[in-house]
Amino acid sequence: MKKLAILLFSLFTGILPAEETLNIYSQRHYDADKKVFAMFTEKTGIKVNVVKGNADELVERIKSEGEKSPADILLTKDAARLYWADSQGLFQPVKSEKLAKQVPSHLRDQDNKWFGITQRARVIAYSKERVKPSELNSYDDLAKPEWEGRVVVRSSSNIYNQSLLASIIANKGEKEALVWAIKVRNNMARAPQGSDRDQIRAIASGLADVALVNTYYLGVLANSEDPKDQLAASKVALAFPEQGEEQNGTHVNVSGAGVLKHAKNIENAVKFLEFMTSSEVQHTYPGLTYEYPLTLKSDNKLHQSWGEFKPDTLNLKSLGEHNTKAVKLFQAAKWE
Amino acid sequence: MAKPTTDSWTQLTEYDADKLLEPEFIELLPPKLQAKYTPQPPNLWERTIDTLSYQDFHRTILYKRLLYTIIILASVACLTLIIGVSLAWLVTSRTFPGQKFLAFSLALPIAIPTYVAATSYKLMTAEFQLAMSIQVRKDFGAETMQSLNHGWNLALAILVLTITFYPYVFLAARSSFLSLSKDYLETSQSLGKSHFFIFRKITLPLARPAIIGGLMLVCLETLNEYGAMKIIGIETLMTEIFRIRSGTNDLNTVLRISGCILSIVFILLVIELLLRGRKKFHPSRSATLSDAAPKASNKATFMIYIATLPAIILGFILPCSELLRQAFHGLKRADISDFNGPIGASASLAAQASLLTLMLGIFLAFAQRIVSKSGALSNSMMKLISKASSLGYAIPGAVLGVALITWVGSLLQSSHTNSLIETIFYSSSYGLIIAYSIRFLSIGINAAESGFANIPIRLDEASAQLGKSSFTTFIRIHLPLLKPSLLAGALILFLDVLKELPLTLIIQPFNTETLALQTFTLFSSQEEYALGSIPALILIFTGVIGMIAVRKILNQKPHRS
Repeated sequence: MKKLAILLFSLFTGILPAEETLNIYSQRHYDADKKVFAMFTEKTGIKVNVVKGNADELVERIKSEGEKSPADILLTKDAARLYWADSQGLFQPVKSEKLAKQVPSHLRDQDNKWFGITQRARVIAYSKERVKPSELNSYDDLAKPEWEGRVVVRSSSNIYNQSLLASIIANKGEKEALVWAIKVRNNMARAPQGSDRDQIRAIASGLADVALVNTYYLGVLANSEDPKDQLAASKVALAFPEQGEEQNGTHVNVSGAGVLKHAKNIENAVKFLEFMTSSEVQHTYPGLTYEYPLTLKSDNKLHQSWGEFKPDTLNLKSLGEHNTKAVKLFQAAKWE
Repeated sequence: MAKPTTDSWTQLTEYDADKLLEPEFIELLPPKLQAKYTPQPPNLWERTIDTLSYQDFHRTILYKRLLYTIIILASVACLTLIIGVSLAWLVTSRTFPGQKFLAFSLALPIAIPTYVAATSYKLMTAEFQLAMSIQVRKDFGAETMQSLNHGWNLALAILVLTITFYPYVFLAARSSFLSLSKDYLETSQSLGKSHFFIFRKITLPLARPAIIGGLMLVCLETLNEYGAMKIIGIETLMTEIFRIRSGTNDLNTVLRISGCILSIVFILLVIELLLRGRKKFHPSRSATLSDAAPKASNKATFMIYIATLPAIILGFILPCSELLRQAFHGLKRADISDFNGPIGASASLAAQASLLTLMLGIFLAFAQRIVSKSGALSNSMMKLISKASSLGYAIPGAVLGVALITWVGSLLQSSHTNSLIETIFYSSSYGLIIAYSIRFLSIGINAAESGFANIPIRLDEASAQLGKSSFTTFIRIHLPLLKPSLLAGALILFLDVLKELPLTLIIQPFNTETLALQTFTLFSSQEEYALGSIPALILIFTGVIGMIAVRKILNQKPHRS
């Protein structure tokens, strides 16, 4: 009866009995996150509340809520968005030895305002029938004339394409990046459209031979129950570019998070970040979302079948710094 | 933009500035453009980028987006008008077995969100489109394939929007046809006029306000469509806004495009006012068309079924069967109990929001009716207020959401309103319900207005002479007569809130899980079509149950006490 009274009271007033909580604004809408958050609650007793939204709008929301914002953590799918949120002054620096140890330095902000949680690589998917992997050593290869009419990539409004071009700007300069974008656009078999999955399908069907995709999409396709998806995935393999000694390594990006400036549950927020980057969670994600752990040492079978690779250790902050320029260059290259 | 440094630079016209490109980029341009862009010595890298992107953007890209937007808007408006009105006439003008069921089935596509229909059609046609592209490229070359691809996507977008939006016109037209007075028809029939003549000269003009109202909703929805366009791969003004806002955050361009969209909305509103303005008839008096309609012959019945079948197949059966096929795979690893919460949340949000919106709509329409009897000035003021309150529908959901959250944020910071806002927007879903009402108020007003339009003002006058107050008149006379239009409005509201996405994404309180959110999450973020089809189907099913409930209420004969 007493419980019922409390429940009724809280229903009407919206005041819940005091308990440890953590409020997250998340751009990641993965079911896997729900499972991992439940693991966190089980371990720490901290209740996790989530608002899911698009990154731009979540940032707007946090800004307009100001000091009164109930959010403790902003979680995004991409480093450029973290950089952007930071540039609006939304994060606060976090001191944690665990985080410093668990997150490689190029996958976090130098001032410890945000930290990577999971990694994904943007690689070249190719047709097993029509392409030899030895033809694909670099992103630059896609700009070569022999690939005319054989490339498909999704729209440049996609943040993963923008971050890849931002990394090319950072590594090679703006002019190189623009030349690359124009040439790749000229090599495309069709105007950019669809998702990464659609690009893999286009290769499987024979419309194109190579595509730029994020690693985990092939994982999703290969593990689908739909025989059509499995067939498409079986015809396509992944090449990790830029692996030579002189080369920078394959472009990687992170999903990551930071503690917000006006967070009310700072301690819980730090605990959460430490938990998300702990080896327990890092071992869980590859099996759920096919994303790479921060160390890239995955025991997922699919990951192991792709082999180890050298990642580009460019600090991810650069992806954010060059994002606007990347969008402009895509526009200049007529890459829709 | 970098400023020209030498004197000669400042004298360059805009056209000359166009020619400035670094030599290495000239080589990359198509041959016909290479001649136009001759290299000029003072090398400005920024200018090269701007020439290639910015200036070109305003000349060609914006024009292209506008063109696509107008093509889609015009096609969808024409098609939904023709399909909606003719289907409504087919199932209303004559009585035949299974008539009510057929009319119900024809409204079913309204339960499918456009982004779900688009995903479903994309999944169905993707392989065929790829195979066709490869064949065309082999036989006719890459350029033909490109244009065919564009045309195909455009056609697919128009198809998806038409089949999901025609029920707006269909429902409006049908409810209006049903409430037509028998007298008009009998008079015309006794004058020996043909069936089609009656339709063209009497039924259609009388139903015009309702049909135009429905068509207006279609136009605004089409203009604001983002999800389906993105899925199908069509660039419109709306998708361009999102691209620029999240990409360069170039507020100037965003405002310019928003201005473009708003001018289209303004033109549409003016057209609507012009077309709707002259309401001279007061039809609903005694018996209505539903009692008056002649019986259809067996042959005619058969023809009616054949003619309406494509709409049901394309609009409902095909997309649902693809979702079922996907869900069949998804159910192998999904836990169906995961969806219990979202079903409850979606249904209760939709029910509460439709009720609130409808009440606001009735209030505004009723106020306008009372005021219309007084002076011309207050009359036009009232019209303006009611038009302004329906603007929420004309503004893209995401834009409205950001505006609302900014407003909520500022109230949250003030100590007076802080705790109130916290209760409404953070500890409960009332904030979301209010947001839905702002967004969909237009539908509420529309339903009430078109209902009031069919009630002769004489009734009010008679009631007043008997000494009854406006309120009593409203409860005793208006409300019973308004019932059909209000229920039709409630249904559209319920379905629209159920499907709503952009606002929900921005204003949701913590731990909100609606069916639309779940579907979007699985379709768009994870590309898990097999799993996403499960909440999508539940969403459609919930909508259909809502439709059945409304139909049951409508079919009840009014009791006399």
